Amino acid sequence: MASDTGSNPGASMDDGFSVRSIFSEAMSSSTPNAPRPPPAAPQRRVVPPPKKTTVDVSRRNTRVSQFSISGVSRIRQGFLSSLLRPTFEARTVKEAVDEAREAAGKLRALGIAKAVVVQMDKSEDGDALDVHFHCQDGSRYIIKTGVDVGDSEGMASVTGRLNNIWGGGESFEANYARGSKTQAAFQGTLSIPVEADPRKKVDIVANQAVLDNRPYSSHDELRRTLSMAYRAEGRSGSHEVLYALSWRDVCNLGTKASPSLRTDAGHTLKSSLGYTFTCDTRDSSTVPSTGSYARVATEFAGIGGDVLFGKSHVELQSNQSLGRGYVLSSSLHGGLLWGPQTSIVDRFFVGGSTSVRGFEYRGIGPRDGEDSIGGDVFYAAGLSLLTPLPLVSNDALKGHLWANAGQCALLDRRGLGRPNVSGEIARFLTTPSASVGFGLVYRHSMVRVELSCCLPIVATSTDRPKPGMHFGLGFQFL
Amino acid sequence: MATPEAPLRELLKTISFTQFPLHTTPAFFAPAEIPRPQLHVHPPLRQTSGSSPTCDARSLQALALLRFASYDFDTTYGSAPDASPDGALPFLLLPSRAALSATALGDLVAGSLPEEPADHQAYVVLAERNLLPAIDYLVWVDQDGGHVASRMLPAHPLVQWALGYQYAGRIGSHLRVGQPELAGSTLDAQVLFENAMRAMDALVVLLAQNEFFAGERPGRLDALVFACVNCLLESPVPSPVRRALLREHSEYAPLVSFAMRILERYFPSEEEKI
Repeated sequence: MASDTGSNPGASMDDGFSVRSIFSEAMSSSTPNAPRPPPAAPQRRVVPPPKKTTVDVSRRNTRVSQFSISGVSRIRQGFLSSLLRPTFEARTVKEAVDEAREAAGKLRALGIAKAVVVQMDKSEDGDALDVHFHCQDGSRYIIKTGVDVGDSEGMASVTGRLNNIWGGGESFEANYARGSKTQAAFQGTLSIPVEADPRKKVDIVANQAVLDNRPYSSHDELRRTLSMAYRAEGRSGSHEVLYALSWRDVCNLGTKASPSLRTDAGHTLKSSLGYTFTCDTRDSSTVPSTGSYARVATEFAGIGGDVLFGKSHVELQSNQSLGRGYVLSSSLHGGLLWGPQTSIVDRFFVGGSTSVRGFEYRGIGPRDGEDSIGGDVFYAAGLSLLTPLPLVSNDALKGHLWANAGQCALLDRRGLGRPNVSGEIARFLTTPSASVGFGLVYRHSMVRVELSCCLPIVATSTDRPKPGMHFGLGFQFL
Repeated sequence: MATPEAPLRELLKTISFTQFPLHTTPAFFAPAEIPRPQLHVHPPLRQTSGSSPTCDARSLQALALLRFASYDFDTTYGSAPDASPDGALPFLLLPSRAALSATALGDLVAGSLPEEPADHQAYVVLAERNLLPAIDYLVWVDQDGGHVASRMLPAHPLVQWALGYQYAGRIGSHLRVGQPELAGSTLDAQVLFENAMRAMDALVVLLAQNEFFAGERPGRLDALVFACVNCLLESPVPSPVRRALLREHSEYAPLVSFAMRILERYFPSEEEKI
C-alpha cells in the first residue's frame, strides 16, 4: 500500500506535497453460484453496470511501526522524537496520515527541508504502517537585502540567516539596517522551536539601535536590548511572553532642547516582563476588506533596572464589507503608562500619516517648545470608508474618506494631574484633536500607500496640525 | 443680494488650508516653570561640612565663577551629563528655558567679574592644559578614581560600571590628544603629574602673598585654580600632586590656603542644598 503525492489546498503547512488518505478496493458484484431467477418472457432489458464498492480505510485501526527519512543532511534525534511522537501515537490510518503530513509541514516550515514527499507502506508485521519522508534539503544560509517602510520611516537593511544550526530547526538571523530615522541598527536573533513546532518558539534577541529623533524632539536615542520571548500561535490568536533588559540613552540634546527633555536625558536600564496577545482575522494586513484585528500588550518594568512603570497598549480594528467594493473600517487605539516618573523613551506618541492623519508625526500631545515629549495616556480612533473608483477596474486602487480623532497627555502635574483632575480628565476624553479628509488608497503587495487631502478640524494649542495633501506609506494605518 | 458670478471660485477663495484647524482648544500640557537659573553640576564625593560642593573640577569652577559674580542661581544635583548642550556637566538652565554650556558661562558673568591682566589668560591656558588633565586622570582614568566617580552618575550600578569604562577610554584618548608627548604611547600618569607640578610652580609664584590672583576680588583664573586645587586635595586617589600640596612646609602652601579661603568664604554651607 503506497500513497502518492498530489496537491492539498486545505493543508496550511504542507504546500507542495500531500498524502492521499483514501484507500479503495473494487469488488465485483457478480456471483456465479447464485441461484438463477426463473426465465421470463423475452423483453428488452437494460443491463446495469457492475457495482463498485469503495471501502474507506481511513478509520481502520493501525499504528506506525517504523519511520525513515532521507535527503536531510542535519537533523537531531531528539528533535525527530518530538516531531514524530503524534505520528507514532496515531491509532487510525487517518490519524497517521494527518500527523505525518503535519510533521512534514513542520520540517518545511522550520527550514529543515525545502520539500517533503511522504510515503506510507504496509508494514511487514500486519496492519502497521511504515512512514518514509523523502526530503529536499533546506538552505543552510540566506543572505538578503531589502527596503522596509513603516512608521513614517524608510529603511534599507542587510540580513544574513543561518538555518537549522543544530539539526532541530534552530535559526540565527543577523540584521543591519539604516533608515531615515534610524541612524544604525543591528539585531541578532536566535530562534529555537519548542516541541519541534514552528508555531511555538523561543527567541533570544540582542539589538542596538541609534534613533535620530531630532526632527520632532531634539535628541538621539541609543538603545541596547537583550530579550527573551516565548511565542505561541493558538487557534484564538498568538501569545507572546517577553522579558527584556534594555539600556537606553537619551543623548545629543544640543542647545535647542527643552527643559522637559533635559529632565529625561541620560541613561536608564529597563528590566521588564511583558505579555502580548494578537488576534488577526483580516484578509489583508494592509488594506483589509473583512475581518478584525486585536492586539493587547502589557508590560511591567521594575524587576531590577532603574525604571518602574506599568504599561498597557490596545489596538482594535474591525472591517466590514458593504458590497459593491465598499468597505467600512473602524479602529480604536489606546494606551496607559503609569509609574512614579515616566521617560520619553517609554511614552506614547500620536499623530502622523499612519496615526491621526492631518497632524505632523508625533504632532498631538505634550510639547515643550519644539520638542514633542509624548504622553502617559492616549487614545486614537479612526473611521474609514473605502470606495470603488469610477473608470478604475483595478481593485487595488480605491477612494478613501476618513475621520480621525485622538488625544495624548501626561498624568503628572504638567498634564492631567493638575488641579481639577476630574475636570481635566473629562475634557481630555471629550475634546480630542480631530481631522477629516479624503484621498486614494493603493494596495501594494507589501505596503499600503495613501494620498490624502487632510483637513484638521480641532487641535490643541500645543498640537502641530498639518493641513493639505499628504503622502502615507506603511503597514498599519488608523 | 447679488449672486456671485463664479460661486465655486468664491467658495475656494474662502476655503484655504491656512484656516485649519477650525477650532483650537487649550493644551493638556503646561511645562514646569523655572523661577531661577539652575546650575546643574556633579554631586560631591562627601556630604560633610567644609568639603567641596562637587567632585568635578569644571562644575566647581562654574560654581565659583557664578558665586564670584554674585549671580543668583540654584544648584541642581543629579542631572545626567547628557542633559547638557555639550554632553558634559555643568550647564546653566535659564528661566527663559535656554541652556548654557560651561564655556558660555564666562560670557554670561563677564561684566560682573574684575578686569584681569592680559597675561592671566596665559595662566588660564596653562592650568587648563596641565592641571585639568591630571585631575581628569585621577577622577576617571585611574581605576580607583573611576570606580568612585562613576558612582556619581545618575544611572543603575550596572550602567555606571559600563559608563566608567566608556568615560575612562574617552578621556584617556582626549588626554593623549591634548598632550602631544603622549600621542601614540601608553598614557603615562607620571607625565601628567609632572606637568601639573610645573603649572603649580608658576601659579604659586603668580599668587605670591596676594589674596586673589585678580587682586581684591576673585576672577576667572581664581575660579579655575581654586577648582583644580580643591579637587586635587579632595581626590580619593593619592597622587604625587596631592602629596606635594599637603607636605609640611610645602612651597605650595599659599595655593592650599587660597583654596581653603575661597571655600570658606563662597561655599560656607553647601551640604544643606544637597
